[in-house]
Amino acid sequence: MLNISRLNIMSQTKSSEELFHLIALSGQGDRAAFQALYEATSAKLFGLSLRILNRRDLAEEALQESFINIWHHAQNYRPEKAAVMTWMTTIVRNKCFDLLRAMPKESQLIDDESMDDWASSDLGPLEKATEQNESKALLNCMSALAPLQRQAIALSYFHGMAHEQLAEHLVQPLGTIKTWIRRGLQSLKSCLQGVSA
Amino acid sequence: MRYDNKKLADMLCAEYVLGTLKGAARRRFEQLIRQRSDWAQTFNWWESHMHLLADTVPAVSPSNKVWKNIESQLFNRKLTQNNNWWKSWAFLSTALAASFATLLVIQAPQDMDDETPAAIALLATEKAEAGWLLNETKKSATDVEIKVISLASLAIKPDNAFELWLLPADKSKPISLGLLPQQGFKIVKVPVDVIPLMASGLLAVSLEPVGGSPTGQPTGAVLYQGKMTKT
Repeated sequence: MLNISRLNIMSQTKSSEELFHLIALSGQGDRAAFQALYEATSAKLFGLSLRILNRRDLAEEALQESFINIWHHAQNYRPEKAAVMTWMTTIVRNKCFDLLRAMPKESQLIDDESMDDWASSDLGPLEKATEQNESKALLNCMSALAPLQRQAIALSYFHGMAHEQLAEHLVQPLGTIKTWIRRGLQSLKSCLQGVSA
Repeated sequence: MRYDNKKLADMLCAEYVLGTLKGAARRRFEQLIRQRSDWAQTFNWWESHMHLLADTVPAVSPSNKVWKNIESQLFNRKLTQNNNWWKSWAFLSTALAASFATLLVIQAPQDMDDETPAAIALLATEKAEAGWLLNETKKSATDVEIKVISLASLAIKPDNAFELWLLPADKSKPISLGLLPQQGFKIVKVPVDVIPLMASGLLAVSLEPVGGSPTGQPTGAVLYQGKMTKT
């Protein structure tokens, strides 16, 4: 079923169908497909690692270990559960959080500028990076949330902050944080499903 | 699957994927969802949508040495055998988390209940360990029921009872709403005079002797809290 000529333009297109072909071949031990998968996705995933770890050396370590993991588990990938990019993002994000937890607390720096982007009423700068239409829809729905609510969700997603840490970081009572997160997530879902929140 | 469980699944799956569930709560969720194949669809929905956040981060090219290291580690074992054995432990934890999603079984959507809940509450500890899901159904202005569902994440205490209290917003005395089940579910009828207080009051669960508080007021520690939220 694989269309080789389409694989050659992989790095420009990155359609999920093509990523699926690449991961399926990687699962069968095809090194070239694995390299194409790396070339197609590593920059985006490295951007995520950098955002989470805020240190280039650690972000590279996370990326490297994630891809080794991806190679070993490619045959376990199930397209009906998650898109390839979702599956790989989960692996990379978990790896980053492993490294983040191993760091001394004082060196866990947060890129405040990017978090300010989430608190801003203009999510335009964030939209610039998005490549998928679904992500634009998500941003659109995020923009309907209150700025601090949005920031709390982003802090949790990008920095692995649990309720307690969010309460400390945003100087809010724990109950307030829990409510923000819960309502925020509920609104996001309603919005994404096209129902008024 | 009942509508109430759908709401609970939604909230827990969303918070798990987002990352606000930590430590014991996270591990309990992982246990819980392994038993709940009917939650797979909700879980997958949140995974596929939440991770779109990663797409808002600009792409940055990693240095060439990353790919070289990957290649040498995977395809040229001689170069790597010296000092990387310990890292396999770190891979394992990540791999487990990732493959966990793939273990789930997709099920067809189940019938939803006709009765929609008026409000729901999740009773949880300060550490966000969920104990019960409460699902309030308004049949009429004077007939309100709460279905209380004990969650797999509840830390069972066989030598005690958990008693549910409404703490009215005007700070008057707590009103007992009865004992909570430690397994399965239970229907609690809300007394008519308490119905108007439900929306604004807080819910608290105290640890009591078997049979409930002997005094009619909470006597033990308040372990779980929550608040009714309109759906």
